[in-house]
Amino acid sequence: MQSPGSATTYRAARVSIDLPAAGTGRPAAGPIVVHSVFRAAINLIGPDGLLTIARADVGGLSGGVLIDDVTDLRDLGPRPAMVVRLDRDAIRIPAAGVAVDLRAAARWDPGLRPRPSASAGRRWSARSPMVAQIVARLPTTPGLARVAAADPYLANLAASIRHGDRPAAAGAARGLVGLGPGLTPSGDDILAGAAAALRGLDHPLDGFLEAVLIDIDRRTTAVSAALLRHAARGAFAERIHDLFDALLGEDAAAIEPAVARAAAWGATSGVDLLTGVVLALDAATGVDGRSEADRRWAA
Amino acid sequence: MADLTATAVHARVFANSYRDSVELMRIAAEIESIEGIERAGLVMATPANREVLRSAGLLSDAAAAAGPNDLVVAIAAGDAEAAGQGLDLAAARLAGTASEGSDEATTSDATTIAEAVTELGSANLALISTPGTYASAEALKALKRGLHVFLFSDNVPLEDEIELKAVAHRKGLLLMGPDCGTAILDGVPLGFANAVRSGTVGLVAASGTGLQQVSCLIHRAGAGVSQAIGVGGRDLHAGVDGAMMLDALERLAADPGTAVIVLISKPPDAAVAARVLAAAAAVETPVVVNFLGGDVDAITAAGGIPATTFEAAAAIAGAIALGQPVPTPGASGHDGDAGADGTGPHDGARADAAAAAAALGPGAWRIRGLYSGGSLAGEAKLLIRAALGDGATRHEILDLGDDEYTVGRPHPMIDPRLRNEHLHAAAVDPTTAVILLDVVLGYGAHEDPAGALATQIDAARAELARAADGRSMPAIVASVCGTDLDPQGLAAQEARLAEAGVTLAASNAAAARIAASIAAHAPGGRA
Repeated sequence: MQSPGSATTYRAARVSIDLPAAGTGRPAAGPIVVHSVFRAAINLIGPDGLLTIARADVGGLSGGVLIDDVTDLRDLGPRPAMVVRLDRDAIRIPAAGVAVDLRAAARWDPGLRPRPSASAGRRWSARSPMVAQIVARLPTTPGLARVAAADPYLANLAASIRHGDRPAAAGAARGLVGLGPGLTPSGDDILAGAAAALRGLDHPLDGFLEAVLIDIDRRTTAVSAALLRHAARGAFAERIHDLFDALLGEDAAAIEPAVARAAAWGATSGVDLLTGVVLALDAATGVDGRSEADRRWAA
Repeated sequence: MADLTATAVHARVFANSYRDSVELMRIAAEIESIEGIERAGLVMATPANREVLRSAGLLSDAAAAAGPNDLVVAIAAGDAEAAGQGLDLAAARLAGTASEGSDEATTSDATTIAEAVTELGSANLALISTPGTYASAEALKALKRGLHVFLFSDNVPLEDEIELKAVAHRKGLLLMGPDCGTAILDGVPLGFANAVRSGTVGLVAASGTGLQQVSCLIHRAGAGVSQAIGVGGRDLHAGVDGAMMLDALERLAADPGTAVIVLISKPPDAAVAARVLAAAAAVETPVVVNFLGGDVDAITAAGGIPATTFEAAAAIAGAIALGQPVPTPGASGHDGDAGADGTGPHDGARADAAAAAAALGPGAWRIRGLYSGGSLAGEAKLLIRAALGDGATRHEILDLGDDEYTVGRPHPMIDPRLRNEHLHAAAVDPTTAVILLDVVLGYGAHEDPAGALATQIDAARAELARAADGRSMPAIVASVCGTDLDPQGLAAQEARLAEAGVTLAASNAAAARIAASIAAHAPGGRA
């Protein structure tokens, strides 16, 4: 391992098991560079897709590394296009004089664990009205609420889930990809939420997003494309895991804080993701004969 | 390259631009606040979004050629100059350039209380304005970090308020609220506060517009305010038990800069009021007690100085602060009156009540109070009932800032449209004898509330003149709660209202008495 003597070294608290080299044991497929830098996260891009160095309070991320004791990752000095070196022991950004030591990091699995469908379905049916009320009280309006173009795709997505129609689901997904505001467009966040719900239920349409990956890089932003790739193979951020645990877990009191935490992500990303989760859960379990999305956007 | 060829659609593309959504929405909101700009959107130029822009007629050639990792700033504007300003603002923000006039000290990317405290290590207060469901948790986080809390949020459960105030009390902190609209702490105005002179009168109020009215009248009397602490409208309810009023009273009693304390509340729980009075009796500083509908005898027996109106509280406290003779209750029973006949600079208008009533239509009898301040509405109701007896209940005094009117709408102190709708309806109703209004100035309030009302009044007057069907314009009586230092300017606001034919009163109490006098003489004769 290169001596970190000339760099400021941060210890990773957690590393995702799908991180190349340190997580997977296989080296990165090619050159990696810094893509974008935000207060809570540094995005890296390479042939393996999107990798992320994030503050620990963000929670686990697919392809991610979490570090403690940093409030603002922008202060570390990385800039877009800086070269990144990644091996089993560390992530280094030499031009910024930054290194992240991965050796003692705990390992985290971003794969969402499916639950037995029958019990999950019954539990969701009982809780759906309560969750709808919690979501209705959220201060943020979903990103597509004022995008009329989204209505038919959302309705078709719900209907296709209800009827187990994979080609129709893929068609609806293609209409939503790249649609709406945000660095991760609202349509993408909804799809990620729906994909999480279907993975969580072990639904026949689990993995429906594969069909939209073919030309995904031309249809949405690089960051969002990477997140959809993760979602298509069942890998999701920890806050989505927590949300699912709360929505379908034993303790109903955990739902509201989990929803609030999920909804707080980004300007609309969290609410959009929630929208997708609820849409898919409602459609997959046949709640009320219509999905929450149908009600909201068909009004 | 900016595309400014279209008259309504203007766009600029920022290649490979990655900004988080919160920042993009903030920039969009800032652009939309520029006069002349109707709509602004900052979206990534994905094929789906380009199609949406095209369908909306907002897709410029530059945006059409952009890729999914490019950011499009699209502006719909009435004029090219405004759009240009918007695009330049977007460019400056995206480049991280501080805008002209921005205050770096108030710019922050903190999204949690923890981050904000890290950024501003000297912070000692958190102002919380989130939906009620989340406000309690945020307030608790702030208290645990040793911050006083100004809790602007409403719809906070009572049990949460009780717990939060217990935590605040244990930690020696103030929990101002919930639904606390006003405070002035160490000269810093919070919420809907007025610009008032610094002085030696300390105020503690479970009443937002009550605090505003008293502080403004203290200023107009030549005195000033040391601290104005809002404690939330339910502080003197059973259960909450005056927790914060008691703590604030203790603070002000120990404050060398406070020579007289005023306690202000909407009608309190009797047992809680007794508890507060007992605490007030134990402090050396003179305490004026302005509990609307309060028991004057009980206050006096407890050693407090009773004031049944906001104007009386201000007059008494101001006199004490300035070392002047304290006004005594007039023979009319209205304490704080300038004299037994209730005369004052504008109370002389009461003498014209009969004349005003004579100008009304034959069926006019009703008082229609259209208030933006709940406490001011409450005071008006009490005074009208005192003047007109049981018949007072037939009159209508609305608090248009109440939750039932503000769901999904801005508060009438910020947005005059709801009140203007009611104003029009009242003006054209032949049973209306007098419309009674409060006009609240200060930080956070509408930039020209008098102008907004006057425009509506002029329009109603013109409509009635055109109708020529025998209906007469009702009398309109208003008081302006503000000072010469307020951004809107007291004198200019009063002048605009006078121009529109409004009868001005020096205080809300005086306005209510004038309205009651007009109704008592109204030809409809049902007062």
